[in-house]
Amino acid sequence: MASPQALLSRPMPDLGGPAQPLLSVRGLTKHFPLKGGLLNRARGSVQAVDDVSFDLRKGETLGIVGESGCGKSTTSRLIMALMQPTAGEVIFDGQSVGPGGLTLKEYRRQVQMVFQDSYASLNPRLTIEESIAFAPQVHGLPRRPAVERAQELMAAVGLEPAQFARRYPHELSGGQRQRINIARALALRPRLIILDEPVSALDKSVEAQVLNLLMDLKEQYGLTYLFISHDLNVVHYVSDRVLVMYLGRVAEFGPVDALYEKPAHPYTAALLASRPSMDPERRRSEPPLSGDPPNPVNPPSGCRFRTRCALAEAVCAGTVPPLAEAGPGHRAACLVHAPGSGHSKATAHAA
Amino acid sequence: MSTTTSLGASPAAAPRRPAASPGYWQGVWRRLRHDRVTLACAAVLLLMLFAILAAPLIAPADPYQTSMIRRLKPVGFGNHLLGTDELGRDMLTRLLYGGRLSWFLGITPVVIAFGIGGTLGIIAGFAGGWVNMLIMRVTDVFYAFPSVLLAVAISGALGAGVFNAILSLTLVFIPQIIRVAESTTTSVRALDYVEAARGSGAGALTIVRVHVLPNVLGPIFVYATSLISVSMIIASGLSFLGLGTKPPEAEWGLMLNTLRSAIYSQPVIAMLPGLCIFVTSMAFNLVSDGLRAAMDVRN
Repeated sequence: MASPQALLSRPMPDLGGPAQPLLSVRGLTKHFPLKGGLLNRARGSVQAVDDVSFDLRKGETLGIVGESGCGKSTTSRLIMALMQPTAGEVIFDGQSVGPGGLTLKEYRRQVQMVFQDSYASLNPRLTIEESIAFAPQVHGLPRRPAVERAQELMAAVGLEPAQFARRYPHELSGGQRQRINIARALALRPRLIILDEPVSALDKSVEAQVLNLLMDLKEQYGLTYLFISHDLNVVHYVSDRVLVMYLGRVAEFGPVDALYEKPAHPYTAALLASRPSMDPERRRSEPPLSGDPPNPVNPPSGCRFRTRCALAEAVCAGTVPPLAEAGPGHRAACLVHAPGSGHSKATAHAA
Repeated sequence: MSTTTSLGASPAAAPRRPAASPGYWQGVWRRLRHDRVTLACAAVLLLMLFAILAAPLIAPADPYQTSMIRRLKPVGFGNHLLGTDELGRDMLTRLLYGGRLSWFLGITPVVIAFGIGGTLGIIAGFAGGWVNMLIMRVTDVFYAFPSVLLAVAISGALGAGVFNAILSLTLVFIPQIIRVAESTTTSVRALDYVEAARGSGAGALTIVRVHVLPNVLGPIFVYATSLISVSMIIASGLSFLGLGTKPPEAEWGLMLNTLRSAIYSQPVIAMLPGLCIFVTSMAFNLVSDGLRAAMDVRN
């Protein structure tokens, strides 16, 4: 049995080889019951995440985009095992989490998270080095080597340990705090890092620095990223593949270039069109998407996007669109791409 | 020193390394130092604490020594610096000794309630779910009664006496401290650093010890200090009603009660115990406010 110090000095070994997905999400669902009334009975539920499935390949960056309230953050917290899913499972490198598979603690060593709010994610009463050294100490590393590792990681994220190690979070800028949060996420030598809007609260110049730092660290530590953001440009810049969520479901999933050049789902197309354009010829006066997403307590039947979709037809109300092939490795949950679905723009018969 | 030397020296000077940032309590003290009102109130309280502790040494007379011929004498009469009460006892002596009991009755219930209520509130806030429900609904039952009424009712049922007064006051304050502890803990528990700690695989006890307690004890403590003045006033009220301390014991509330018949003949003397209560509780409240401001990191 190796000492915790030796165990924590490198990531846990790769089990299934490069072809096996690092993370397989299968039918992940989270419904929050809405309670009310005298006896606190459930009166419906918020369907925050509904039947989300995807694979995360080793070494890639998968971007998740969508409007606020589409279930991005809930998905990240479900994957972090910070909440219990209503249904579905998460398989990490071929192993499930729970009896017979990885223990929760082993799983958490390999999956870490960076939060959006750099201030709220650091304990105001701990110094920077104490915050980073906390997780390794939880996993059995003695205090002194844990602090040494914290200082190494501070250097790795570009903060001079001699200057910052014993400062408190409120003495740092937002960009510096976010670097600390990244260092903390690295402290357990994880294999997967979930980045939940890591740069959304930073201003543009700092944002670019932090994004470049993330790309460097990925290379250096052999990481896999799950990058959650509402910023399409940032996701385009960092991701290998992109997953678009709408109202708790996967709308479209594919390689970043294919998805940005030829969006298959009308929602993705509208999102992309809503980006501000530098080209005056392409400026539009009409918003590509109007209104707010429907209430997730009572989502529309069939396709959830049909209430805001330009291509919606009667058939969209009755059929939940399957994830249909729209190109190599590119899938969209739209009846237009499902052969024989009955939509006027779909091919009549399955190929 | 000329400008040239300092300019010439700066590139060669070794980089200064502000390695250790001042700790949290140093920061609190730095902010408190500039808060004159809080410092003045703290000085008043310390002076008063010293005086009542040293009462046997500095009191000019025996607190129980009555004199039928020197009743209700005014301030400065003979060697009675603050006059005499309705039984001819020296007021200054009585106020010093009375302060001991008043302070004791003000602080003890709050300290006990801080321990019990703080623990229950933090448990309720951190555990959430049905544990929270159980603790908070029981708390609500106590909350249904105004605090003075509750103290009077419990003391009345248990009978007069210092011990019963402390018991009733403690029971009055526990629910109030539970509320504050629960809401503070609930808000801290939802913060991302607690989520991050859970995500790092830490157990509940470690999270409470490292991440929750240091961030909730301050606000609960500050709230508790603000209750000391309330406790003092209710304790005095209980004594005034004959439910707290009993004569001939010296206690500010009781003294206020026994001197009330002298309000027309010697208003100044009758006012003195009330003034003591007022000044002490005011000072405690202002110190509590100052602490609250100084302990807020974001200033």
